[in-house]
Amino acid sequence: MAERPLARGVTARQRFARLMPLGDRNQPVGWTPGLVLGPQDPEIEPSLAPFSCSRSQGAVPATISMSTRGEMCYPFDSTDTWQASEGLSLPPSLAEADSGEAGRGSQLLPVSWQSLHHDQSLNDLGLEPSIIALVDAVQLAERPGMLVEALDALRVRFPTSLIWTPGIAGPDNCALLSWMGVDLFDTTRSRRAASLGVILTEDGPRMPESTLGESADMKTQCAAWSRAIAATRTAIRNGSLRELTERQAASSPRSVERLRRHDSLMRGYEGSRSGLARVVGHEHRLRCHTYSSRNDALIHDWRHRVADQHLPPEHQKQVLLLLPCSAVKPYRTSQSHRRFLRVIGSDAVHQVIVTAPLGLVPRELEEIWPAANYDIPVTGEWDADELAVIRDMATSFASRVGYSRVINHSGVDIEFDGVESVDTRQGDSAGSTEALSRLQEEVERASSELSLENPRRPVHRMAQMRALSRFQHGTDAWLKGTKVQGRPPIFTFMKDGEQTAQWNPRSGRFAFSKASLPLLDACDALPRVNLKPGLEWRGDLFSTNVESAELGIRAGDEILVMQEDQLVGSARAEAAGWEWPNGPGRLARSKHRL
Amino acid sequence: MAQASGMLGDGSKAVKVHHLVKAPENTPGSVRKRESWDATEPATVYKTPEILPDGTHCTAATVIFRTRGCVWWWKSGCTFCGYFNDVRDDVTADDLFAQWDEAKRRLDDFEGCSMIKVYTSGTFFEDRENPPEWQEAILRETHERGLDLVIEAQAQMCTPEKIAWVAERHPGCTVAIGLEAYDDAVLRFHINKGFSTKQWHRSVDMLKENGLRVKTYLLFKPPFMSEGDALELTSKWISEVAPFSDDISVNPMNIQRRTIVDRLYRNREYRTPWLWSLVEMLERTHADITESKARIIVHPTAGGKLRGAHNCGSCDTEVVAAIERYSVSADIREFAGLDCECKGVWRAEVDSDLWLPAPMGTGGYRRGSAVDLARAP
Repeated sequence: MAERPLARGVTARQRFARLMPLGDRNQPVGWTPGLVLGPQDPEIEPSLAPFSCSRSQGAVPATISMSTRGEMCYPFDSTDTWQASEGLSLPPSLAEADSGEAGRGSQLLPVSWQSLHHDQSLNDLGLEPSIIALVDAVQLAERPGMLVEALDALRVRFPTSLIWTPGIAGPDNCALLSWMGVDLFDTTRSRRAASLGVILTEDGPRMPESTLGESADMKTQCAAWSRAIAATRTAIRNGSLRELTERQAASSPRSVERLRRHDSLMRGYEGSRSGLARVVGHEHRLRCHTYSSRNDALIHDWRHRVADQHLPPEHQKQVLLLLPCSAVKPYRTSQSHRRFLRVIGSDAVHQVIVTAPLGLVPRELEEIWPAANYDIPVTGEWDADELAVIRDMATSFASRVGYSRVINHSGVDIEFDGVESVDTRQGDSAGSTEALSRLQEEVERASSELSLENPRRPVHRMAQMRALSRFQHGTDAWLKGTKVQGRPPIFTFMKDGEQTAQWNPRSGRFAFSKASLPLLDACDALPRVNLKPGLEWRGDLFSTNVESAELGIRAGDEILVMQEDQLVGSARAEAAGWEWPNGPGRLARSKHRL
Repeated sequence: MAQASGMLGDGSKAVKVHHLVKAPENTPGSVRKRESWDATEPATVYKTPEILPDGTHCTAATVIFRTRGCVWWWKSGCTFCGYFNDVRDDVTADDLFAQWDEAKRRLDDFEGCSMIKVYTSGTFFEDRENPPEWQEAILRETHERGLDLVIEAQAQMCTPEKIAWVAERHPGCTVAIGLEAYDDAVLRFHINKGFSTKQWHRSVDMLKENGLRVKTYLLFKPPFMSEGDALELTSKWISEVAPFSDDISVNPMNIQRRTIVDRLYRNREYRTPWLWSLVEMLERTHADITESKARIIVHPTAGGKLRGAHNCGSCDTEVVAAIERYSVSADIREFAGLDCECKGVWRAEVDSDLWLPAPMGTGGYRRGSAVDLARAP
């Protein structure tokens, strides 16, 4: 009888990590990230450990059997056991050779660095195992960068499969592995720790504390697993997995190295491929509390797009005003910025906030992710790396836009080649009467000397919104002939008497009306996905009704839904580009239907 | 030529594993070492305590010749073999006779020895490797002097004619065959042995028919195999080959310079066996071995060192000594009372290897601070 596939959904996602219910979606039996139990593991509830595994003895290659620990395959009438041949794999350093045999299985597929290089059957798009076991994960973890590369390739090639890296996970690195796309762990390292008399905790290994009567037995080790997996799942739910990963990685030099390599790989990809989100809502915080948070692809994506792509509102291309950041976001609601705005008194200069780790935040982008959401420890002093980033970004941004003058109220000493630059701080604090007075004078002087245009408020707002739309959607064409109405911070966009969109800083996005969809389609303002032909579109978007998707979708994106070349509606992406169109669970939530 | 490849392949053509196995042979270091040998002197000679076929204790002389090496190595080669370090392709018959004379000189003409082991880094009676006149001289001289002779051979080199020829010149001598594994998949993939279990059986039958003794070498933990699998499989193989063997010599893997295993070891992709595994293997197979009347020999080369079978560093000397004693006494009580804190770590590794889909094993370093050993890989 053919093996039945695992029923799985997605409750929450962040980058490559997913919180997945297993079994009947109305009553899931198990969840991932979770554990795979071995024959000698203590009994652990399926919600934490949804699978068990065993391996044949004496036969070469071995046969692996993996069982669900509950009814997880449709029609949910029994547990299921999948079998696979483990294959005969050479170690990663011998991957130039093709000896041995690749792992074989239907719902359980063993893969290795060697098979990733030589097994052509892995390119068969019809291959969709429920679980992939990376059988040489232990050896790959010993080789610089290989585990990161293998997981990245597997994660994207098999978006629906659960990935298991046997033998390398522990409560001290499960968040990091989840961050890289691993779904299943095992207790191997905890058993080893127990045998060494060490407790493998979420913070790394440590000796039991005798004054508290601690022991390193498996009960203690499993308790650590339970806490670690709970923390990982919660972090995926609330979007704080990066912070947890950074904390966890600090317990081992190898984990730090692995996170850096993963970050480096992700920075080389476009944001949809690295799983970035475009919109997350104002309630989410991005806590950049460690040095390694600066390496995240999200931070570099922002820096790159601001420094190399963003263009200010049309009337603000002459004078750049650099301001210091504030703890309160958006900045304009902070006390210090309210004071700045009072003395600036003009919309003619382009206000750009100097900050870390984002580098620069143009005023018109301060309400969007991640500028509106980040949080950093503030000591009042920049470190060398922060200064270098700010200076690089500011000079490249200024030279690209072609400002005539820079008014620098940020307190960071920056030299701009060929552009007049005025320091209004002169060593004073940003909010001091003297500094504010100099700021006011310099803005007035620039306005008069350069005859700056200070448009009416609605015109200024529209220009800001156009700049924002270019940053978020790559175009502002849909705003042509549109009027902006409403009182800050919520704006409504009207065209020909009909509402096309609304801007609300709480959501950090343009909420497009149903009527605007043909216009957005005509303007190429949003990415498109194609429904399967002839299918009646009901509910949300899943791999079952989506045939294909354009590249570049980020989580939170508004997307246009097409069918047979016709625009049929819109949806909001929950999954980033790497999961489209075959990812598990809901890929996008339906928004409008035409 | 570009080839279709897997998800990560760059389209370059895959090579056969034996190209990688043989690659170290041609490194400048290997070539320099080979060319530095004096072909008129044997690679090494030494004396060890041994047991004669009738069970009496004796002294054995071992002479390792510098030869042209193994025909199988010329074509392909075993994955673990480091004998290429000891051979050169310009060795002549005169050189071999000179080496024999030199060995006798160094070992006082085998004074006090009842047994002699003649090792040629290949098949003793293979004419392409060793000149027939030299083979004949060794066979006859050792027989005439009443020395119990042990020679080595590859199974596929055993032909009825040649075995009869050997038996005629030294009746009852022992032919040691490096079977390494009693499993065709392991022979093919892990070891690249060049013969099958069927060929081994055929050669064993030939040896028995000609009244020669059979010594079977098994390799404990070949490359690409986990500790747990090595323990399970080798224990099984010992029991399976015992009825066909007079002696079984289990060689725990040791890392010889410039071999493929050396490459894996340096890449942290392979770790030599635990001494505890050898103890467990001997305990598991003791009853079968006793029943079959075969003798089992385990000499852990470089035992206790990182490149040989080893434990945590504190119990190694004691465990190696017990294994060595058992090889002579065949008394299972040699292992009574042996224990160490690291035994639990070994047990955890073996248990994990046996259920996890991790065919190359889950083991890590065995020595150092417990907290650091448990840190995330």
